[in-house]
Amino acid sequence: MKMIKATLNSLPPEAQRVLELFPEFQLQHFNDSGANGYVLLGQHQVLKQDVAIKIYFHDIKEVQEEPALLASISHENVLKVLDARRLGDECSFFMTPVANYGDLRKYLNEYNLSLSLAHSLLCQLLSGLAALHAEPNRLVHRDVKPENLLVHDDKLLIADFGSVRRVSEATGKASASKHSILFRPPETFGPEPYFDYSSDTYQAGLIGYLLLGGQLDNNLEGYLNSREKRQLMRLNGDRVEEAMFVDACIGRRVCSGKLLDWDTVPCFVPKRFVTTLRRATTKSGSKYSKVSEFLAELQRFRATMPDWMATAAGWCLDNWNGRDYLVTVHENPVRVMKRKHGNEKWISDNKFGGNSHDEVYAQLSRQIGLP
Amino acid sequence: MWIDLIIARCNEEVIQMVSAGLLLKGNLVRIVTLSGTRQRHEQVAPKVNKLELGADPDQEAVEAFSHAFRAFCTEQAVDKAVINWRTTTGQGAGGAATFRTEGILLSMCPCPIQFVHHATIRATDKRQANLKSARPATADLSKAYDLAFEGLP
Repeated sequence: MKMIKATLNSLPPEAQRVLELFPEFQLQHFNDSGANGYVLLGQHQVLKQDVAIKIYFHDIKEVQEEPALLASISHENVLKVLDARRLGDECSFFMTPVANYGDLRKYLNEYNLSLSLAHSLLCQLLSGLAALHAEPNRLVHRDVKPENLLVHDDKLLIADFGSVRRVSEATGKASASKHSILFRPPETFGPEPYFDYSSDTYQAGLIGYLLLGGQLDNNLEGYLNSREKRQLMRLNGDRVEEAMFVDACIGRRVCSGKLLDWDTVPCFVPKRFVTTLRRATTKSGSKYSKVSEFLAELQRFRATMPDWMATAAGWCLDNWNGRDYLVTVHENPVRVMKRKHGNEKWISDNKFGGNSHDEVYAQLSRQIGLP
Repeated sequence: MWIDLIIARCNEEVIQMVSAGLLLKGNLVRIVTLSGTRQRHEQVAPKVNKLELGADPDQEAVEAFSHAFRAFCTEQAVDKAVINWRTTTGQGAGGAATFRTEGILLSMCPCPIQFVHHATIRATDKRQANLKSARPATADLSKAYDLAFEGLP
């Protein structure tokens, strides 16, 4: 009891005030990693439900947009608001249900996703974005990234509406966001940066890339080539200039379409899936202008998509014409195991073999007729 | 002369609608979406003209289909979906795949669905063929256009 009291006393005053206002809220976890506020996780004793309380800071005259926006959109893939209140002139909070798997970044770090689940989560994300884009909302999220997406029982929820803006009816554009440089679409760089509906689909395409196993390193300096690294060294440790230089280099990579390394996506991902994502993440003009175009393309190959999953044992194909296949990853030569779907015991299939996964995958693909 | 003007004004005052014509053909749904009135309309979202359920869809495939269709209706603010009346008997009767697609659409379509018989389209063609100004060139999309046209006020 003393320890809980000590913990409560160590909380920021705003968090303590929330706990005073909400005696029915039982605090279980406190998170201060956010850029503009805190998150309290716990249980609502009356609703008997796990809830999250987000405390955030704003200007005195600022309209409390985030909870109002969340409350105005009723969609199964958009986080719901249970309550919202002001704590003071410059601080407010709102309450939402808790997602049991946390954010997508954590989910991707902890679990291997099957192709089918990755496809489903991407479709859900696009479905939620369609609700934001639709009349009369006309909203763009502007900050779709794994940290702002939550996963609850295989369901994806769009959260963090701090960057949301309304698209102008006249121009079809909103001002560009400068958050999360790796996720910024090409049109947000340059002399007249802007954000439109296709910018959200670009970010959704990046999420698709990550869901499929594509790598996007958060170490920004890792994206610099050797010439850029030398130039960076010459800046003599001026932090601001260095950050601006690195951002400019990454901006050039984004605009030239060289940010993503598609070779990091496993070769078992169907070509059509990769092509669809490449189109979503290409330069402005040729990418999908609407979420529904992206979704229509995605759903066309869903019925024939093999359900591969990268596991610790290898690449596992589940129930392809009544059989499961396993391409081993830690053995040389690479082998293929198979079993009747539902059986436990794998047997080795000596028809296939080779020194690389790509080679063995190509043999298997031809033999069993993968798309 | 003034009567024509009044009629024209009345027609303009008819509420604009977004009508999606859905031609069901086995696993395929061909889509043409029109916005406006019968007198004055235009095609919207021409790039989304086909959804495909696949020959042997599982639960996830149906879910993906459902997401795509509902997102399309939400994004384009579709007021009404018009589907071809599936023939139940005789030559060319709707097959199992069409029946399945129709059932899925009926269960999850976010807007009202209207069924239109091909005889109705023929009758409209006799009376208002001159108004069908934006008909696509391909056969299936042309039929989907006829359906969408039936949904317009």
